[in-house]
Amino acid sequence: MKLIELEQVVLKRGGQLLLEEVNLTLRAGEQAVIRGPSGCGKSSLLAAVAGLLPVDSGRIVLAGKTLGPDSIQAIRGRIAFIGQEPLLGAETVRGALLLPFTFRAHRRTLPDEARIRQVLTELRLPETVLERAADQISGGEKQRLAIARALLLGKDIFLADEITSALDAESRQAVLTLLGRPEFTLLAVAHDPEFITARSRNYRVENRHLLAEE
Amino acid sequence: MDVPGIDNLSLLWSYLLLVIPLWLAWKWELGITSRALLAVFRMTLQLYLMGFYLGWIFRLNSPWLNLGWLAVMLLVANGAALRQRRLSYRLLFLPTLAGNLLVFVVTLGVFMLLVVRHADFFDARFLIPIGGMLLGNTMRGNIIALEHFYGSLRRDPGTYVTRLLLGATPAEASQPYLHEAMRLTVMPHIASVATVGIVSMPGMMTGQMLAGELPMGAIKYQIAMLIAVFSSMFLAAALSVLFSRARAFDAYGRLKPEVFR
Repeated sequence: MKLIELEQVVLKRGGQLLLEEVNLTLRAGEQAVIRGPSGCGKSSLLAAVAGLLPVDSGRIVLAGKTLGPDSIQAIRGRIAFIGQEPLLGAETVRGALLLPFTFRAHRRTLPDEARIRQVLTELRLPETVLERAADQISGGEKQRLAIARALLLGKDIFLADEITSALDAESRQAVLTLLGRPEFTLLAVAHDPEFITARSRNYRVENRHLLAEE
Repeated sequence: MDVPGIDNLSLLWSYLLLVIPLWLAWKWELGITSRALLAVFRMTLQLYLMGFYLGWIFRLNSPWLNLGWLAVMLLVANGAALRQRRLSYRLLFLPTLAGNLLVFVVTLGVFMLLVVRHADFFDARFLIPIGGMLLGNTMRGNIIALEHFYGSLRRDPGTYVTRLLLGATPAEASQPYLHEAMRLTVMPHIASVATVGIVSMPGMMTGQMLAGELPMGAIKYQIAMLIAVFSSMFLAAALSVLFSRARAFDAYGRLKPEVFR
């Protein structure tokens, strides 16, 4: 099943053309990694897929739904956007993990303690991290906690923007292993060679076009 | 007791108090001398004009004219809050006006009916000064709240975007910004209320005592007014943000760029 489809997408910022004729299709479980020079529009493309930036023309389809005002809530319910410096948005780690469940959309799906511990174990985080203050968490731990939060929400489509560039080796390995699982579909912007695996399809941005690399 | 009047010559003597501070500002090259002089000139002109037109309004004392004047003050205060923070009139004027009008009517109504309890509700001598005090403070609160809410969303959208992508509605996602804007709006007033009578003697009771009211009578008015000001400032700021918020985000939950002029 196609989970991410970009059809002839054109992106502009401040009236300037960033990207044009962007075409990309990802099926469930597939990974795509986009590389390119700074400022070429890679991160803007991810933001557009999450509905954070308007597209000038073209179509974005996620899990069979065309991105639009009526579908945006449902689409954001499936996708997890992980940036380089995730914001936890709460004073404690426990509060940060449970933050989405304070919103109306997720109030009825509050995870129990067992599920929280299971997710922390998958991400090689100790249970003691739950009671720590959020401002004492390292960058690598924040990345893993952002992913943990996405897992608790049952998300299976990940948009990742340079998430391993500032991580230590242990955190990078934990993140890559998790996101590389076949049940997740991943569209990533990355320069990290370890991100680019045998499973991933690789693209580069050149002259405002997205080109597939062999 | 008659209040001793100040003639124009006596008023001129008060301008002498400006000489030393303005001279120091010029000598220290603070860059504020001309602005200060302009501000004093504008203040003098505006207050003289206010004296003329309020004198006329008080003489006529027509209920419709008095209400009309309050309406003009409300419209001007509402627009000034948006203009000061360079926010869009097209998107935000009507919702902020709705919030301010609702709070103004309720607060002024309660104050006039239950506190002042003057036989003539529409008497200009009470309605306009009290309404003016409420509106002046409401405008100050609106300026702070709107600037902090929308300014913070533009300068630091990370928290908003994070919450939005975690499934929050725009209202839920912007809640931390609303809370911070409200804290910043009311904290200065709370601080001044806490020290009134120790550090400061507020204008309303000063004016009343000058007019012959005994201190115990004057402080009752002042207490009631400080409470009314706090309530109207808080509620008007909150409703301005809440009502305007509904028009400030697009269908994707993105803050509309045209919110800012």
